[in-house]
Amino acid sequence: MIFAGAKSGHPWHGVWSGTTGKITTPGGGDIDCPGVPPKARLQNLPIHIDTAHAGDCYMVAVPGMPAVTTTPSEAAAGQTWLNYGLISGARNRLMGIELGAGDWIYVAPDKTRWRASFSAAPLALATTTSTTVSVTLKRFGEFPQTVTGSDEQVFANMLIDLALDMPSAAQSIFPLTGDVAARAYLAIEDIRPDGARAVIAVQSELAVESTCPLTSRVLFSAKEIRLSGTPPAASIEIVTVAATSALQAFEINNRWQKFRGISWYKDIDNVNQVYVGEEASANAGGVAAYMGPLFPQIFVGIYGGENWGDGWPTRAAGGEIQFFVSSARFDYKVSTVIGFRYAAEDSSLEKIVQVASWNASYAATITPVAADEHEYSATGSLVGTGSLKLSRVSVASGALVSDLATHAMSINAIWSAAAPGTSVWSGSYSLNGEATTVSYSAALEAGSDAPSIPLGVVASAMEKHGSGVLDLRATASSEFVYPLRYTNALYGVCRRTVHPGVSRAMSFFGVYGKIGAEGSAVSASGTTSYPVFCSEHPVSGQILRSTSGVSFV
Amino acid sequence: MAKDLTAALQALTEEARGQTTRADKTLPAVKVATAIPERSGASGPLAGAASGSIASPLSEADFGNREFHEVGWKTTDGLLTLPAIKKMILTDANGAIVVFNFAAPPA
Repeated sequence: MIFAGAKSGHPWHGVWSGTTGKITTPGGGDIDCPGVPPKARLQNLPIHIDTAHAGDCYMVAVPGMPAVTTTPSEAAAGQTWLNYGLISGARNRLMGIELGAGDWIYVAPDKTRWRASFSAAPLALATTTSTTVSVTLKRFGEFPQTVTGSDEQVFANMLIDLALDMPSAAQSIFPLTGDVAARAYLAIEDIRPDGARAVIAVQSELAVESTCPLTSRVLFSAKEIRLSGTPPAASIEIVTVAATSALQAFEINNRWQKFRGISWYKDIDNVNQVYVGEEASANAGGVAAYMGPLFPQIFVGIYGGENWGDGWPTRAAGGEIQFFVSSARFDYKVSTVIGFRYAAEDSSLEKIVQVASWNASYAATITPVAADEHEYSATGSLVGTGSLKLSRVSVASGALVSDLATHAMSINAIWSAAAPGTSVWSGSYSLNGEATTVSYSAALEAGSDAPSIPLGVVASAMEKHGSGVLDLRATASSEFVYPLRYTNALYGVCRRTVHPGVSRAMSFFGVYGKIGAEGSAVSASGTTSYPVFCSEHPVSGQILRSTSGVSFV
Repeated sequence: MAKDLTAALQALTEEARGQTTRADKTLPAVKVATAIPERSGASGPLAGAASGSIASPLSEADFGNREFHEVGWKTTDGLLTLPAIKKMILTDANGAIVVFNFAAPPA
């Protein structure tokens, strides 16, 4: 602290590095980090560490403070004078003091400052969808000679509904029980610069990769704490920003599949025959199984043959019937809210939405062979395009504010098969301009069904398994993109490839802050080095990305 | 007189030849000053001191007499407010009351 001359207070700002432990100042020099450094971890998780709050950086601003400049001589001394404060890291460091993960500064209408401390009872989603929270306001930054009135106001043990209006649904990915639900907790999403608003969210973490410290997460719901007035006569409201049911939207523009029924049978002379039925439209049950409205995934996949019990041709003396997908169209849009933050422009609340859309068509011809087993030869093709967007959407109006990023997707593949024989898929897909060539073959036994298409892009972080246990979808061959919250300001996506024979480091696409953006994709250089530590300066918009802890202070 | 004239003439003659009767002399070495021992002094009141001069030292008799501005001295970021002194009452060496009135900090 400096208390001399026209400027006073804490001028030790810059970029804190977890590697050096120093603060690199705008003047270019490194200074020791006064007090405690920003903390990387919000909590210790059972499998992995949580880095999603390491680079949090909130501006705390008292309205009307005059602008200030830093002279060259002051900058040379490592000083940076600001007319606002910065709260940094997972445990909210301010001026070298750790306020705590649930604490921030509330600036009352009379410009007095109050340390707001939020706490919540541990969630027990298996037994209750409500919890009690407390918020304490303690006078902050006023030395005794200037204090008048009360020093504290407590809002104790307020019972709030967590707005979990969907977890009981059988298909829900928001479980009330299981490991993910057991790890669920309430944590701060973002804080408005005057501290009068703070978004808190019910959430739980999922590991992106077993060795990667960054976590994806399940966002269950969001609430907002609203403070007004001056303690001890301040008021508080805790309102629902988004219930669980508002976190996802599933829009089907076109959905159809056509099946061709084929029958292998022996006629009355015991001669092998085949019968090709008419194409029939069907409700795309197979598609829905992959893309139910509660599963925020885009998976380019088609179920194979499906045994069908009816439809025997006249005079058939027994045999087999299969229905093959002869054509299909996948035309969907899945919107998933992945976070909430206050806009830099006007402090309005906005939600960050991942919008995955896909429009692909599949066509196939099946040529049955009259034989003792239901034999056939077949060819097919799958062609389509899609996109993965990150968008800002106003919470108040629901209107799109702007798209942050668009990652294009496309697929072009062919299929050939002979039963008995081999089923071969070959082709390529691309994501964000990077093409992946894949080839997949599987033996087809006589009488076997056509295999599922093993190509796809899964735009999600989770899949439900069993009774309420969420895990990353890691079966078969797929391309995964995970929506990520890096900090209170920064969002992005991560790509993970699990195709057999395709070796690719995890790729972290651009990060998009309230002001700035760092649009390049950064690949992990090794299993112990992931570029997942980020921070955005709340005023300049400068963005940091690093493989070790980093934060503006 | 004749002797004086003769002497004067000789002096002029020698001067014309560049000769002189002046003998060079050097100044004596300066005597080293003796060290002045440390000592303390005292002085009675100067005449007219009560008319405005303040005699050091100034002493504060009671901390509780300090007065502070209602609006404190804010740090540049506006987050901390330090007490800003408004008035201090001191007593000078003569026992005279000296009042310091400080400006209010910027709002």
